[in-house]
Amino acid sequence: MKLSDLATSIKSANAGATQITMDIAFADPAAYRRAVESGSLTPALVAGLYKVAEAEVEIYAYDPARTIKITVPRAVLSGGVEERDFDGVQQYIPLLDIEIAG
Amino acid sequence: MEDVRILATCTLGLGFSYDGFQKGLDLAPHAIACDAGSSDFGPYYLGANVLQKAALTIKRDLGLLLEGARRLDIPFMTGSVGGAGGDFHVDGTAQYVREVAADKKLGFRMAVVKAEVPPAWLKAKVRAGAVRPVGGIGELTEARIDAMTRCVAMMGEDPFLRALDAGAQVILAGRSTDPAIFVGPALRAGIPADVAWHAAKSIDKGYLATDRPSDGSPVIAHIRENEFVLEPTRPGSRCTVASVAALTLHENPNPYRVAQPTGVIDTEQAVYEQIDESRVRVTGSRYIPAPRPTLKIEGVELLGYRAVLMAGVRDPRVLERFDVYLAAYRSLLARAARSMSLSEDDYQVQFRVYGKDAILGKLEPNPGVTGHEVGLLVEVIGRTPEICDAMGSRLGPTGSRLDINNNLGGGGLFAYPFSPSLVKMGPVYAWSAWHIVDVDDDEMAGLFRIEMEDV
Repeated sequence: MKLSDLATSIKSANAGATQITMDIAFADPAAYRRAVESGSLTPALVAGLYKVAEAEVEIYAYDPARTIKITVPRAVLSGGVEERDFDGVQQYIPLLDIEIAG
Repeated sequence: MEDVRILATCTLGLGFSYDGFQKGLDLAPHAIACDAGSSDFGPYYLGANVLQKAALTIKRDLGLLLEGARRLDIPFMTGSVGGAGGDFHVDGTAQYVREVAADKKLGFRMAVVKAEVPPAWLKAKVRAGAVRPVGGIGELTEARIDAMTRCVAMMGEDPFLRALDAGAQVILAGRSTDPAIFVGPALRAGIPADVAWHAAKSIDKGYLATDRPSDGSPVIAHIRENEFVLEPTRPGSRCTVASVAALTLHENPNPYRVAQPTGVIDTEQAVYEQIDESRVRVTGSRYIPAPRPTLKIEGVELLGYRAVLMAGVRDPRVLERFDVYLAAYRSLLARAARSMSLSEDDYQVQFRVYGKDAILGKLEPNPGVTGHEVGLLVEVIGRTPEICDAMGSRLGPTGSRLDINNNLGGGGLFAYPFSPSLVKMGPVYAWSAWHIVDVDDDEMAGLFRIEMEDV
């Protein structure tokens, strides 16, 4: 199942000028557990999608809000010369089609 | 211990529910607070000394906030004013406060706190090895400090506590961490830092703590020794476990940790409980004091001057070879630059092709042109305004007449929606400091200067 079909909402934003953070929220507790426990969302996979080093990818399962948070470095500091999205609000798109096992 | 109640609206100038605010005042808060800015708007506002929000919307919010605070005789506190929180932004917002006060016939003692840091202080910190980058911005050097247009440090609770101790009824602060704007009254009342800081963090975006932020409900935090309760003040609005727990996700890399100058708000053990339809209780919060204080600094440098041109391209014979077209366009612009004796260091050209990969760039999984038209945004940044104008004037004619298929017959390729087609955007700034600086407690008073004023 695709992540975008399993999650209730997926969004991205700057976490400061040097990082982008993505929040994947699940209304359904079972869907949240499935996404967390599937093992599908790995730092290696995210590193490939965002073209960053695996060690720079942070992934958190945040139970109080049933949200998976993924934080990656920005390719360009926010508002830099090669900027395309200085708020980082459309940078979740590469996550949408991730296949979640189970 | 009596609870401490802080009434919070959202970012100054974003508006809030009038009814909700009046109901919030009925709950007898001990202070009213809101943030007034962010670095999210990018480096421009700090660099160019421009207030980020319009006077009319700032003054609407200020009028209600100041009237409410004076009616109850409680402090009103705001920080990161003017958007970027530089000295210009503080002075400009202070002028709005004076105008609103005169208009509403209000008088109060105001503390104005500045947040810009002197280059000499920063250089000494660099020499002492007390400066570390946050993320991939690289080391701060004395040369980068020399090239810097302006730099602010985000103040923590210290200046707010000093201003309250000095009897301030209104606090107008430059760049601040969001929770620091709200935390002072609870700390002064003896509430443990563990509870006070997480409560402050939970109300620092006002109505973002509710499940429908578009309703604009202010929230009030009831802060006690071992817990805090969040309550929306607009009838019908709700705080939920999900909406409150989600607050530490907001624009924060790690949901369990929110760094502050004097410590870290740690929510790993926090418990969120729905106590009725609209209120949430939080227990188990922690504040882990830092071994020594640190300040996050934000500095900007001038890159040059920007002009942009937006053109629509519809010809399918060009779109199917658009990469070839863009490469030829770029080399023609380079030839134009050479003809004007400009070097490669004098200007930069960028293309953003809407309908291809403008938003994701190298991350775009589908980078071809699949639609029947594209929007081509062409940008030039010149080292000086004159270079920007010169290259800007060549962007349109060069691109529109470029005929890679030899079938335009001297016609044009660029459909322009506007005259003029070239938009001059003025100075361009980039973040050049985004670092953490080790400081001593006794440096705070000198860095964050408080000026008291009777308005």
